Amino acid sequence: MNIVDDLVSSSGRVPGVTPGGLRRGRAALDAAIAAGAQQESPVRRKAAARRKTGAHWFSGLRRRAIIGVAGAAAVAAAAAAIALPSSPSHTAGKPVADSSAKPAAKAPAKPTGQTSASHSAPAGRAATPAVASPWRLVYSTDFRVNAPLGSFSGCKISTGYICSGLPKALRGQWWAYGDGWPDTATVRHLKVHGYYSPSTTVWIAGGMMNIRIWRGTGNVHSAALLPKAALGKKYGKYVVTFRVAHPVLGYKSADLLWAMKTPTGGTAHEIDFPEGGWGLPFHAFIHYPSRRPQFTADASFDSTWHTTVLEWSPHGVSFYCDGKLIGSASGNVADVPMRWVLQNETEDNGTAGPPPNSSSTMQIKYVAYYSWAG
Amino acid sequence: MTGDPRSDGELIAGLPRRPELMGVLYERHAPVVFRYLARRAGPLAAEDLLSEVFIAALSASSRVVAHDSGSALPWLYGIGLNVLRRHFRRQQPAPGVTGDFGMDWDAVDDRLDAWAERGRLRAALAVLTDSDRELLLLVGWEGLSQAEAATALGISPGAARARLHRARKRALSALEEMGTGGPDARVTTLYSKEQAS
Repeated sequence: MNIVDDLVSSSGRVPGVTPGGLRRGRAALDAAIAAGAQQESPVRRKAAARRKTGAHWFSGLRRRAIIGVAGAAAVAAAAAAIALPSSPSHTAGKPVADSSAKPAAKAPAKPTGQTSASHSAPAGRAATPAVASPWRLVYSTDFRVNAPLGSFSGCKISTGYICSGLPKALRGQWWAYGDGWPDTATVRHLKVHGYYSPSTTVWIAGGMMNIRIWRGTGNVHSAALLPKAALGKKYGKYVVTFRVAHPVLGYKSADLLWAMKTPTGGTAHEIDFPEGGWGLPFHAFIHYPSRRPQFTADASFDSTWHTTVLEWSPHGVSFYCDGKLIGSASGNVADVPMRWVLQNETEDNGTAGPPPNSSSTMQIKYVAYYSWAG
Repeated sequence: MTGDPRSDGELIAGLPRRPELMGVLYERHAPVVFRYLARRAGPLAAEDLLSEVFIAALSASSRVVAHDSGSALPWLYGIGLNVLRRHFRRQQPAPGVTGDFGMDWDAVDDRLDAWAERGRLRAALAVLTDSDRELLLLVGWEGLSQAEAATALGISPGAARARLHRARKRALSALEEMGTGGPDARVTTLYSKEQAS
């Protein structure tokens, strides 16, 4: 067990209190003593108030459960607040795998292979209104608000999943793992380490989010982006249109759904799609709780634009690439709130990592999240 | 340290009649209590919370005796924990945050020298319950004995011993899982910590 104690004790260093802080604390204490000595502290006053009203201290477990419910409600409220009225219209040739939330007049060409299995309404549904889509658009963007490089800074959980450097219009829409957080290759102690560095890798311009992962001679600077509308949601349809114009081996993407709560001593639910090394075909994985089915798309992270759709409902999980079903699974799938992470980082699949002085850019031009209303 | 020759036990015993003795305890223990608060909430918040701990202690002083070790610290840590919980409840904010009453991870991260250690620490602590994590940190960070930590948390020494054993075992498993780099040991595991407890 020493490794645990060593780790904890080695991380316990902290700066001492400043003389000014010490004086201020003493002054506040002296004032309290002078004002009535053993007056009720705010903590105790609250406790007394609870007792009077018949309330009681919650156990940690019950308290967390309540907070969880409140948190979920807050997420829902936030999502509603930032929901856009409809997905943007798309130019011809842009692959759009979804049709359910499009205005009928703009219904795009029906994505092949996406009818009965996908729960999506077929094209032409205006003429056949009996087919109702179980998906409701919550959020979509084609990146019309620009954010220069450096905007994805100050990304913290403690401030409420806010990147304080973002333009206000985007703060409610996007969050990122903060600068300096280790990426998967670092966590796995691979040869080349990477650290999330959204402030040096991500910008929005020209109707696209650009994620330029780079490496000098040291660590990789990577980025993991989270659409906030899909934060903490159970079930949904996740759409992303992307390409890597000039892929460099050693970088990778793993867009994934990750459980908001990791069970104590257990492993969080996880669904990945698309996942793969840049320049290589991408895959879909269901890691937990099912038995890890894996599907491979007939497409790669390369200069071709692709649209992937991940549908996750109580009925199961389905994966589409450019309108074509590449795999699905039913039964024993995740049924807990998840977050959606567009994770772009150092390859962790046994490669030597990206070469020194290299960079490569993921471009994303459309992102959408639909809730399940089936 | 103050030059007052009286022990913590004597000072605590005198508090109901002479609340100004809390000032002596403050001079003696404020730096240590500050570090305790700063480890969890960051130094800025800790400065604000420091006086809260001692003011809250005033109102509880009539019901308290010093720990067998003679130190007032286990008692002050226990009060500090309540003050921290209240602090984190106040911070409970914003959409999407389900909250972690035990830790401000940004504050913790800021003081870790080795980047990789952040991930390891988070992974180790993420799998623990609030109370087990607190116990492990009281011993590991604050240097309390198991019995002193038990006093701070209001549990029996036997329960503290059993919980500490459990906490170390779970944390070790988490670290081993990271070390083997299993296919699902994603970095996101670490950041789901804020909801894991």
